Amino acid sequence: MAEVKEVIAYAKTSPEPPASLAKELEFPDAPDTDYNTKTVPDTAAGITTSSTDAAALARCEEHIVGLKEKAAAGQITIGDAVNLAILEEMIRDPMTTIHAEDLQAGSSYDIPKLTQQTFGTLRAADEIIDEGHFIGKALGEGMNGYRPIVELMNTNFGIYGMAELSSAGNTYATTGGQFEMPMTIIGAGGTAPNQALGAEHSQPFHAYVMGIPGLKICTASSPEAAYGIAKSMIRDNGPGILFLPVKQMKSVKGSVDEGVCLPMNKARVLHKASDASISAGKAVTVLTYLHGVKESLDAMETINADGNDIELIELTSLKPLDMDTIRASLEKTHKIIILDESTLSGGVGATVSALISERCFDELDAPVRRLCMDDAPVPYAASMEKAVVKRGSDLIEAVRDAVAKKL
Amino acid sequence: MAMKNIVMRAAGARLLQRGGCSNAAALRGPARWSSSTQTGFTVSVTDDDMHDAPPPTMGDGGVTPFLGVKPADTSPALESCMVSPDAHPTWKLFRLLDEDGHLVEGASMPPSVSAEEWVRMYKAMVSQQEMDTIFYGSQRQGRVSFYMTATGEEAIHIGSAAALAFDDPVYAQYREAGVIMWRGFTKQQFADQCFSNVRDLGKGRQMPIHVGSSEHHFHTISSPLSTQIPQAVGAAYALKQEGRDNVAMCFFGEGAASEGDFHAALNFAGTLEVPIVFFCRNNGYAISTPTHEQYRGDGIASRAVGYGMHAIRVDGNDMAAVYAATKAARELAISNSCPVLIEAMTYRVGHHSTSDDSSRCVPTPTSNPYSYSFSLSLPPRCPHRSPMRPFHQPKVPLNRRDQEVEGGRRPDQPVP
Repeated sequence: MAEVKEVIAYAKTSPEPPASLAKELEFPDAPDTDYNTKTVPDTAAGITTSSTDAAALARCEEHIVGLKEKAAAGQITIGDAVNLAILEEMIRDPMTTIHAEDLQAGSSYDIPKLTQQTFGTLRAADEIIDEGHFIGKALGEGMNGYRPIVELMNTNFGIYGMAELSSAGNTYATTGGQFEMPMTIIGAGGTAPNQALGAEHSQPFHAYVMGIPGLKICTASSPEAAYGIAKSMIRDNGPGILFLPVKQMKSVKGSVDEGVCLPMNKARVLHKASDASISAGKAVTVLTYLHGVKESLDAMETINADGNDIELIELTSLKPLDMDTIRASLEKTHKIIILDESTLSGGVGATVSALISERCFDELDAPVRRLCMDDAPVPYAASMEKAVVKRGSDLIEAVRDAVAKKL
Repeated sequence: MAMKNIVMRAAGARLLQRGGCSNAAALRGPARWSSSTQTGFTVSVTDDDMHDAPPPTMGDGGVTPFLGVKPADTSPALESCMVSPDAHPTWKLFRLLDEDGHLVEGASMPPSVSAEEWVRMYKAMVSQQEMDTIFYGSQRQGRVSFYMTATGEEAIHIGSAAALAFDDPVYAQYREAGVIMWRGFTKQQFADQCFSNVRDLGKGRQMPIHVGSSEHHFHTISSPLSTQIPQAVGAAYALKQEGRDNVAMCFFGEGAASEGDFHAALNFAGTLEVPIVFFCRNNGYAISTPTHEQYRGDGIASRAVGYGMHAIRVDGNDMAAVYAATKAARELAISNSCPVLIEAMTYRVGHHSTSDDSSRCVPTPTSNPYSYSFSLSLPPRCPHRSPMRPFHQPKVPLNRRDQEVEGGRRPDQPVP
């Protein structure tokens, strides 16, 4: 009795934690971590060979060689590039596991291809249908020494997992840093113009999760970015989610930087505006991601024909956001457009626009122009979808307006 | 510590006023031990009661004093207390017709259905399959962007739909087109939705096959799986408050029954005691995932026990049996204001949708006289059998009073 009273008295009179702790413990690995320096224990290789069937591993290696050849020829797809990253990481680190619905059949985009055939049904498991809970299950695995990858066929289905995803983001901090929880979620999402998938396959899940603390959020619209970021995210010791463009998984082709992990906190400058256009005031910074990248690249010709140019920045890191790269560009162009495949309310563009206004106000000659989806269920009918989902043609107009100083 | 006053009030006192139909009385099991709702009395347990009542005895036929569980003896025998999943009740498969249209031993056709109605139902099954065949081809030709067939499951659609009242609200998953078609949704309306034109009732919002019509009491199909299940419970709750003689009818596949929403919904339906029929189409596959990787229990019917409701397992390829089971479940649900689960066993003949190729991992049935447009070879012990076949040449009178359809009609013979 007395003991209990004593401990209460002592607890009550002890000081509170320092305020600075509030912002610490968000990520077990700092945002600027170089994942190429991450190592695995010496026993890893031995564990891999002893726990995998030699013939299956050989077939997997053969498949990897095939993928690398495609990459060298500039012909690897986004789905295959992520598959390559996953297979490499699963061979490198035997604690890496993967889960997906329909995994044995390669899921929708071949992302988990050959994982089950190589590593067995325990390390590469077909999920029952319950997105909400298999994210939670992955958390449990992650907290107990494993490195789970979860593939959502379409990120819209991740909406079921909001509760578990919040839990994922919060766990490191709420446990006082006691439990690291490496978890990588990979899914195809975003909204392509004319994707004709209807409202419930077109929601901006990437926007919905932006506010979750402790969750690293990346996007990739090219095989290079997808491969490099996937490798990093898998090695990262906290929860991360990587969005890929649902309508370009097999159509966009490119190469990969073999074996290289890309940073998870940097935006990518895909096209620099010419010095001439900058000094003439005819250059505009364009921020975009997922399908917007191809839309912007395809619109480049017309934009140039108009006598204008854009500095195209891909937001490969949605959270944390790379404000330095954005500011550096804005210091040259002083005009910025965001081609955003999320909604007017609560979208990615909304967050980025607010941040730019707050932190780069002096660099702006005009308000941030946001080309985003309306607050409406994305229609299936093409005629209606055009009105809701912004695309290259909208960007061309917006660039003209920006240069002509039209608000 | 003072115990709260516990007052258990009969939910839905109207139940006492429900006549129920004669079949329901026969189907009603022994009064459920845990509920007072069927008798409609109020029980009030206060502190005084607890002090005055003698303490419950244990062992030797004494009753365990715990709330929320079935009363049972206590026992020191560990082995008899640890219950294996094999000890739970088994479900016989309810079936009336064999593959050739003979009644199985002891069976009789549902008496309230006339020969004309059986013929109409048979035609509806054939029509459903034809529609699927043409639309599937249309997708492969690039005219429609997406489609999902329900081939092999036609008996489920028509058998269950015919047993419902027109205004029973239906919440479906996506493989139940025959249900809305039975209610009169036209092929034109279906095409309008698939092509997403100006006449689409969904006003261009949804992908193909996501049909819905308030006129037909069929809620618009929604892409995320199993969201319809808790919603159907809500609909049933509305019905209960209104005191209507209707059920909410909720369809889903065995894969969708893995979603969290399924479990929450069944639990709600049981605790709130709502008139709902949960209809699970167990067709063996969820995209490529077979049932043995989807769950470990005895199908979906076995889950009903955990949620405190009746369940029946029926041969989903036997339209007569599906009809009879649905009718009975409906009557039970209305008369007792309770949920009932039907698990219809069948086989998904086609692909999950036009976006996958299941021939790599799902055995597909053989080309046969009732040929499917995408059929390969039937593996041994494949649970598929054609729903149409028993009705092509039924060996039994479809109605005792109407002999002229004995012998049935082959698909190549003209329809009067």
